[in-house]
Amino acid sequence: MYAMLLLLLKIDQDQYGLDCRSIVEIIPCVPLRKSSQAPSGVAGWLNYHGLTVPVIDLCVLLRGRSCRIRFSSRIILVHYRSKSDHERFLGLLCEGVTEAKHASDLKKQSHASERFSELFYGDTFADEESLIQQIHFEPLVAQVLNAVSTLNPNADMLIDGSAESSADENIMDEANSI
Amino acid sequence: MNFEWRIGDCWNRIGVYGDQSCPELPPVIHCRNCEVYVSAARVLLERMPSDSYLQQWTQLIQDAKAENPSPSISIVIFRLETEQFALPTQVIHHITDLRTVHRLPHNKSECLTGLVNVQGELLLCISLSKVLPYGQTTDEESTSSHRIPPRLMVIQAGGERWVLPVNEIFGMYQLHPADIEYDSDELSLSEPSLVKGTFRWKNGNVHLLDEAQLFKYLKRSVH
Repeated sequence: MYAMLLLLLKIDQDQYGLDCRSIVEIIPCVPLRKSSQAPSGVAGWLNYHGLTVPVIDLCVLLRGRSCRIRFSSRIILVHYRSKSDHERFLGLLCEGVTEAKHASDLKKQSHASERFSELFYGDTFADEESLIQQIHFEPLVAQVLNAVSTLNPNADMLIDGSAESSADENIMDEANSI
Repeated sequence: MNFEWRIGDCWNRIGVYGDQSCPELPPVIHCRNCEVYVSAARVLLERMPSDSYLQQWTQLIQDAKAENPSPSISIVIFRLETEQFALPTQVIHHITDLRTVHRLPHNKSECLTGLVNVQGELLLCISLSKVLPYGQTTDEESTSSHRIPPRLMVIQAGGERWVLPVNEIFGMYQLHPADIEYDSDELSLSEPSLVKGTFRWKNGNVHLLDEAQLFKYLKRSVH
């Protein structure tokens, strides 16, 4: 039995949960390289030990507004499989990342209402104080990621860091020309 | 902004870091278990991060990761007479002070020196002087051939325990496999060698003992 650990994301009064299995590292919300051509939902690009990793703002996708920059806002680095079936890094920027809970300490709720079910929703859990809605990040970010790869034909190379320096310069030119 | 003042740092005044007069302290034992402290921490996390904090982290994150070091081994370094030896920490059950070693009658074994009562259990006490030449110290401690070194290391493998008296125990250290030199065969008198290799430590050489060979040798000696 897989014992799931849920990373809690507290956005305003709501709590979401992310399965820790795909999480590589959690880092502070450092400033990111921006691009004027970035699709909505992309917070920017992160230099992660030499790799250029896109960072998607979960508050935009879940709440329709940008993530506030606080000590408790963090970039969650995850592994995911790209369309070309490569292992890639992705950053998820979110607020209220301060706690994780074991699913075994929570009570799983039966789906109360189909109305609220989304493709990216997993199970709903409850602890003494509140509800935690598990989300699956892959379906949630899929559209934004598609848009990111069409932004730059070399974006696939760009993301895994094996890019030629010219591809990197494209992004920098964009950022500098804003 | 002085957040500590705004939040009211009771933990520094009446709490565990202050005069400990807080009525909430006895049930929670330490301020970190108290809701007031936890809520204050949450409030602090809601602050804007400072520029220097973000700059420092940006630099840390973008720098190349250190090469994954090969896992280091935890060892205990000890002294037998004039030589220093090391054993993996996991084979050491515990360390105790000198006890009376009860001599075994008709003991022909070259490594068993007797029995020791450790926590109610009678364990075999060993000496490695026949297999590991570690010289003799010249001070008055060592004049008697029946002198037993003062610290007893209880070592164990596969449910069996042995008592090894040692002169001095220096402590637990992390040893990187890359630091071990493997060709010192002048030390061991018996085949196969009880010494895996040597490494440098504090300007001296330490002989890393092969625990698997050691326990095989001990088991053979009992029979």
